[in-house]
Amino acid sequence: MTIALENEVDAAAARAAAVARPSVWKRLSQNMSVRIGGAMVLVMVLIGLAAPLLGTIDPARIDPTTRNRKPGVEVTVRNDDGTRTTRTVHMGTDSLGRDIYSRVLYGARVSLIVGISVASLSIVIGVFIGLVSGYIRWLDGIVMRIMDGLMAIPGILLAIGLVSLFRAGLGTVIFAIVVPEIPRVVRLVRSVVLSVREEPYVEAAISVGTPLPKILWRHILPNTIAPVIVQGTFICGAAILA
Amino acid sequence: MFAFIARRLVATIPVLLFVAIFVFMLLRLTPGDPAAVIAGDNATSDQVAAIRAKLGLDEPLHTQFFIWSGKALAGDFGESFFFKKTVAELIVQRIEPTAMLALCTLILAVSIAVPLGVLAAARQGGWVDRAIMGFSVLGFSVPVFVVGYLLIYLFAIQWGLLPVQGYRRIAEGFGDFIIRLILPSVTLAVIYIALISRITRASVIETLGEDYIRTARAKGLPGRTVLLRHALRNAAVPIITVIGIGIALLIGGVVVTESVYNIPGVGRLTVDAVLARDFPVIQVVILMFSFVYVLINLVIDIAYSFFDPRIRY
Repeated sequence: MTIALENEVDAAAARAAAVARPSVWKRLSQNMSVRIGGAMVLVMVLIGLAAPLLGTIDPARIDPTTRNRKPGVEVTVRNDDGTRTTRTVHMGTDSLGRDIYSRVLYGARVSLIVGISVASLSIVIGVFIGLVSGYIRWLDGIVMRIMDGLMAIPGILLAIGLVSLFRAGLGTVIFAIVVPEIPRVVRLVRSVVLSVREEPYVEAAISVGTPLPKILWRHILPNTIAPVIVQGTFICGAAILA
Repeated sequence: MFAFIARRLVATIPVLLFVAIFVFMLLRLTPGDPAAVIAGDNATSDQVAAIRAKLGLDEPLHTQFFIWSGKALAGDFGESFFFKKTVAELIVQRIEPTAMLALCTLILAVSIAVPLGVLAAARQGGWVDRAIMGFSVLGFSVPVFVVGYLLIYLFAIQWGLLPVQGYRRIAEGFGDFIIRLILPSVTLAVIYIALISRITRASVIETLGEDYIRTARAKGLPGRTVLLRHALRNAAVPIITVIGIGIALLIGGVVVTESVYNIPGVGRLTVDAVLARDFPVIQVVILMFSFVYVLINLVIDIAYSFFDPRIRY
C-alpha cells in the first residue's frame, strides 16, 4: 500500500517536472548568458588542449641570454646542436628568460584542471556530508565539530605536510585546496537542509515510507542546488587564483 | 536554548584537543628543523643540537606534547622561537588589526551586497539584474592584489586622497585609524560583495516561487513588504551561512591584503610562522582559530532558528 502510494507520489512529481521543463538543453541553449559564457569556457578549453600546437615552446625552459625582453621583440636562440633560430616573443620573457606566451597558454591547462577539479570534488564531497549531517540529527553535532576543526587548519600548513608525505604535484595541490573548502560547502548545504527537512512535503515523503537515500536525493538535494552552484563557481575562481 | 549552548561549548573541548594533537604531529613529522633555521647556514651540528636541546625539541614526541599542553592549560603558551616575545604577547598585538579589518569589511560587504542581491532578484532578468551580476562575476575573477594595487594607485597616488599603506591602532586616534582601513576594507569587500549578492539573489529567487509569496501578494501587501518580510527572511539561512563563512575566513587572516597594505595582522603571522617552523606560534594560532570558529558557528546556528523558527536542533 505505502509503496503504491509512494510510486504514485513520485510519478506525480515526475509528471509535474516534465510539464514545467520542456527540455533543459533547449532552455539553456536559448539563454544568451549561457551561450556567451559557454563559448568563453570552450575557447579556454581549446586553448588548453591545443597549447603545444599554437607556436609555444617549453614553458619551463630557462634561457639566461634572453631575460626580461619586451613583448613583440625578436630573440635569437642557440640550439643544443649549434644552429640558431629566431622567433618573436609575443608577450616577452620573464626574469629567467622563460617565454611568457607559452607560460600563459600552458597555464590555461593547469588553471582549468585545478579550478574544475577542486570545485567539483569539494562540491560532491561537501554536498554528501552536508546532506547527511543536516538530515540525521545525531550525526550533526559530531560531523560539524569535525568540520570546525578542519576549517581551522591553514591551507599552507596542509600543503607543506602533504608535499612532505607524498611529493609536489597537481594532485597534492588539488587535495590541499579541496580540504579547507569542504567545511564551507558542508555548512552551506547543511543550513539549507535544516530548514527543508521541516517542510510538509518531506514529512509527507517520510510518512509514506520513502527510504532515507531517496528522501535526500529526490526531495532535499534539489533545494540546495541554487546556493551550491554559486559557491561552486566561487570555489573554482578562488582555486585558480590560489 | 541554554542547554543547547552549554552542550556546544562543552563540545569545543574535544575539537581543540584533536586539533592540538593533529597540528602537533603534522609539525613534527614534516621535514624542516627550527633549530637549523635559527642556527643559520654556517652552524656546526653541535650548535644545532644545543639549540634543539634548549628549545626542548630533543625530547620524545609525547613528552613534548604533555609538557606543552600542561603549560598551555596553565595559561603559559610559551615563547616564539624567532621573535623574542611570548606567543600570547605576539598574538594580542596581531589581533586588533585583523579584527578591525574583518569588522569593517563585513559591515561594508553586507550592507552593500544584501540590498543588491534582493534588488537583482526582484528585477530578475532585467538590466539591473544583469548589471549587478556582471559586477559580481568581475568581483569573483579579479585577484585581490590587483584590486588592492589599483585602488592604491588611484586613491593614494593619483588623487592623494588616502594613505598608501600602514595601520594605526584605535588608541592613536580614530581618524587616523579609520582612514587607513578604508582601502583595505574596500579591497577585501569586493569579493564578499560578489559572493553574498549572488547567494542572496539565488535564494531570494528560490523563495519568490513559494506559495506564501503568492498569498502575500494576493492579499494586497506592498511589493517591498513581500520582498523583505516574506522573501528575504525565508531566504536568510544560506545568506547568513555564507556571511558566517566570510567572518571565519576574515578572522583567519587575509595574507594577500595584509601584505599589500602592510597591515600587521594574524594572516601574515600565521604564514610567517609556518614558513619559519615557529612551532609554539603555529600551535596557539590554530587552536585560537578553532575556538573562534566553533563560537562563530554557534552564533550562526542560533541565528538560523531566529530567522527560521522551524529549525530545531
